[in-house]
Amino acid sequence: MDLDDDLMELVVGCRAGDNAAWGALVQRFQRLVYAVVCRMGLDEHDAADVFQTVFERLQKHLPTIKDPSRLRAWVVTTAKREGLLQRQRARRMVSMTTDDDESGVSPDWDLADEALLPEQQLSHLQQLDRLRHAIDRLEPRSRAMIDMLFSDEDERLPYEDIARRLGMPIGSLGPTRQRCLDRLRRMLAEA
Amino acid sequence: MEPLHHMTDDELADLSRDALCMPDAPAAWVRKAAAIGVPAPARPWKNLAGALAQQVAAALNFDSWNAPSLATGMRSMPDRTRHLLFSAKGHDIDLRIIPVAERFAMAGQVLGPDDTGMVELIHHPVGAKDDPTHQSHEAHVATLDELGEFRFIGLRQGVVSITLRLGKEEVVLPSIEVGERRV
Repeated sequence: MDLDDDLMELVVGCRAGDNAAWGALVQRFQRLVYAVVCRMGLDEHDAADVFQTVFERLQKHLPTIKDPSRLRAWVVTTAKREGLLQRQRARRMVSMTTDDDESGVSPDWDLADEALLPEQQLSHLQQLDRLRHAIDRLEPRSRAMIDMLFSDEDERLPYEDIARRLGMPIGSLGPTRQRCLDRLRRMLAEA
Repeated sequence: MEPLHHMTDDELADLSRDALCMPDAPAAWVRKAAAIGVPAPARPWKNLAGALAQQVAAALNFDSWNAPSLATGMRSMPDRTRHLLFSAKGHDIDLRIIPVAERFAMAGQVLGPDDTGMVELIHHPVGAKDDPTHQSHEAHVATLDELGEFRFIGLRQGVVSITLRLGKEEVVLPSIEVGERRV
């Protein structure tokens, strides 16, 4: 089964007025949208506005979606565009209040917009989001193992503890880890 | 950028670490976005004038529930299989609803100039309205195979709405009752 097979079903459910499907769609993309808006140099209030706007746009976009595999790219592009628009609006407001500032020093946020989130970084975020989705779809024991093995270094448990928690011999951790990675690779290749 | 499934174990492990570190958006933001909700769909017969230019309403040409079996030439079909034929702007849609244990399967074929596309089915199970724990709609999607055929399985008794997306056309079938034949 394709990793994103359920996306079209969610979209169809939304078109049918199913709010549970909409909730699931929001849940599916919230992490990705958040990742983009957090990188736009917005304050928390503006970032929250952009986050909300992206999902308002997505709701309006639903009737025209034909290829769900492109939805992730649509979401990041829309989040970036809305983030840039919000930055421009914020800049206009700030410039109205800094007309008398002759210091000539550019504020920190006065960056070239093009430098923000270049395409490569957007692609990387999409890749991370797909991988996270694949990890979340692993069966619970494999998911728990990936969590424990790949958590932050300072939170990572010794192999003995991981083996004990998973109820498996320590010698099985390596082969099981390998099987988890192979399973992930297969899920990602099918998409 | 290298496809994920071509990465080495170490690369995939490193990226998995980054993926697991992706934080969730604040719960309040997610709740607010979910609260946007989706509008209830407009009924095709209510908004034909405002509908998309490509939207086509299919007409029911035949329903085995309404015809004596001997006159239909369907004598070889199992009695409990319901056969429906629709047509819409050069497309013929052949649909069979087959009881399977307590549920129903739906097998269909689209014949026409553009036999590629997908079929969206919205299922409104009987009793869903009375059961607050149950979702009122179930959405299913099928892709037409090379013969223009599609299949849905595991449908419970209820009513289904079917939309076929064929090229630039959106063919909407009248609502169909799924269940045992009424006596």
